[in-house]
Amino acid sequence: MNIMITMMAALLIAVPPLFQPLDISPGVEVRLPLDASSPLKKKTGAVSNDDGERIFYVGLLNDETGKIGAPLFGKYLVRDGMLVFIPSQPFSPGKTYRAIRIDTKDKDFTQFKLPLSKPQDAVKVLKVYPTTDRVPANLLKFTIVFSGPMRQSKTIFDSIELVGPEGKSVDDPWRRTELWNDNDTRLTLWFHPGRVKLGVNLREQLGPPLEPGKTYTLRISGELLDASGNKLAQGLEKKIIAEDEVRKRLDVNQWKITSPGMQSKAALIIAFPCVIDPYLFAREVTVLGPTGKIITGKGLMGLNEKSWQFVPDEPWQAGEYIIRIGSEVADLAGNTISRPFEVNLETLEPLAGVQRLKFLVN
Amino acid sequence: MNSYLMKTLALGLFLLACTFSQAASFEQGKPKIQSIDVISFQPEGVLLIGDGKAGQVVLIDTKDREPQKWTASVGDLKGKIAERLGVAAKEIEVIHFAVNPVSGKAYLAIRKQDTKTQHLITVDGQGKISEFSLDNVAFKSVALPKGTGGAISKITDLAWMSDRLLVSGVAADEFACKLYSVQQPLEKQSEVILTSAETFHVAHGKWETKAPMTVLMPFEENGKKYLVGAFSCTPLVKYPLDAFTENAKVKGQSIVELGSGNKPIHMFTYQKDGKSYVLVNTFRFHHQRKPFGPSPYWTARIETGVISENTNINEKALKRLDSKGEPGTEKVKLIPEFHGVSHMDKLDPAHALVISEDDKGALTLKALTLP
Repeated sequence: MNIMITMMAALLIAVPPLFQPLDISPGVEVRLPLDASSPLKKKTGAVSNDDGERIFYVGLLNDETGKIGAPLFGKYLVRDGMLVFIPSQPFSPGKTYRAIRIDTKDKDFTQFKLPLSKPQDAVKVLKVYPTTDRVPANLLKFTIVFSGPMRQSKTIFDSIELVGPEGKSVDDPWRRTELWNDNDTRLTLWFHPGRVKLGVNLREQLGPPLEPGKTYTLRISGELLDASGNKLAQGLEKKIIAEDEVRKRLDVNQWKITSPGMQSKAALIIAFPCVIDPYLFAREVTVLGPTGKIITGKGLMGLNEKSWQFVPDEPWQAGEYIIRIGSEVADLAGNTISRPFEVNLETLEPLAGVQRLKFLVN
Repeated sequence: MNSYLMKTLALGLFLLACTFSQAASFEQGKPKIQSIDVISFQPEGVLLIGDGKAGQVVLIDTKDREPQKWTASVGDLKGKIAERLGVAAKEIEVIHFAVNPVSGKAYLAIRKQDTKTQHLITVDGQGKISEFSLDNVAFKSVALPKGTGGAISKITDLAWMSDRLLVSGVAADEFACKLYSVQQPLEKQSEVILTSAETFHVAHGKWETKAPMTVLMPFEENGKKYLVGAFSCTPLVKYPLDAFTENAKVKGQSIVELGSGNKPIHMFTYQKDGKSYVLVNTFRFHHQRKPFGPSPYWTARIETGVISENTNINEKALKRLDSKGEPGTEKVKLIPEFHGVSHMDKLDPAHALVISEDDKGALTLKALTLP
């Protein structure tokens, strides 16, 4: 059979950028020299898809049935006497595509399969916050950190299980809203707030997801898929022991500050009486110098997120420093420095806003 | 001139006027979009894309204004779209859905898994599936301010209400409800009012600010404008829009409680036989244990009289189900014809366009008569 359809020599299937939706870089085009009698022969430039598809089209081949799918999305143009099809997005590695002529009796075709991309290291679960195994029974969320980008999917909530003390799964524990960071390496997994809040129908009917004194296992299935569609290197199980619920405002006055020495780059250390949400803390807390200027440096959460240390880029100078704490800094139950997680707004005391803790360097 | 012709002419002139007033500020090119969370339309066929990752709403003049008649029922919708994208059905997901109110064409936001890309797909009244390319379109974007706390990670819904855009968003790290109201004209530098809403939650009998809104809808009553929002614990809550001012806490009234264990997905108003209704479809994550029908997707019709209610509100709000699980009010009805509807939007005064999911996960796009 004459291969009437030629492909560009280089099948450049670039690995798609981490997350740039609708950024189309096909890297491949399918070309067919037009017959002298073709009405398109004398044209140059764009032609309609209807006109193009009357001559040839490219479709996905079902390897099992041998059937070709409907024409791929893309556009046609005539260039140098050839009809060119440019798909609207890259061909997928591992799939077979067929370009087939419609304007000939024999329906000549050619097909091609793009090699699977070079296997990457399987993605692992790097960390699950809270890292501690002792949590308040009204724990609000887990944060799961992966070593590489993951596949967004609404099915993810069915692949992460909370197993109770008798080995039975806790029914419907999650709020089914996918919340990923920008490069899809961090998933924030919320318990359904209707089961955490007191007096809510959902909690009344199903009970809270965690009960004080009981041990649970968070089970992240190894079947979760990464961005390339590969399974995780392995699943992960994390044991947690539920303790009493905490339903009071976070009190910064209970934080213990260890001041660093003057002219040193020793760490400023804050010890907390309870576990602090590390992401909110990192976002909401800044250290201000004696002149009110923000001190740059590196902040790091300590063991079990019960302490924080901050090493400045430049040595500490003598004077009074301020730790500015934004109102959203929270514990594991969503109680912030501003208010408890659950409030009755009609009886609520005035909300505490941003708070400041002072320390002296001398 | 007969009244039909006059109405058509008036509509045409209105759309033309809207087009001219909008066209001035649209730029031509490829909008920078980081995520398509939700889609909706302005009445003149301008597509609204909620992009939570970039904290913006992008407006696209679709130029799709040719009205069409729906005769198609498109079975295996996912399979058909997937093969046009060059992958298998399991490798795509429908993220959101809207109908262009001018043309009646269906717009689907699709996630293609292997490339981590998102695509806009259209289906016309004859079932023809096309890609709506964003490579070279007339567009403009409206930035949503961060406000206090963290930036939103996801836009949960957006809707156009005669003179303003309403947007709800959620943040990843904090439990918060951010509501935006953007007054027309919508421009990059438009004044955006960011508020948090106080809601009386029927389910737990408390006022609170923090529950994220999952679906919202404009509602007008006696010349007064409201936002009607739905939450995961499924109360419907009504907020007066004139109370939306910068940093204000807008107090909303809970007006009906659809029962726990459901996540509302789409909501719109319509009229039938002289009565006004709201149609809301939800995903029931308690389906395995306590189903409301053969599918986890179920739909309720609510008489808008319930929304106009000013007495039976908050702790007295009507409940769809009473404590025994029986229908608690005649004004809220479960609609069996809409069982399985995972996405829907109003097609015309008498029909909804829906995506229905069967027990094997296969999708069908079809028009259903409004109940």
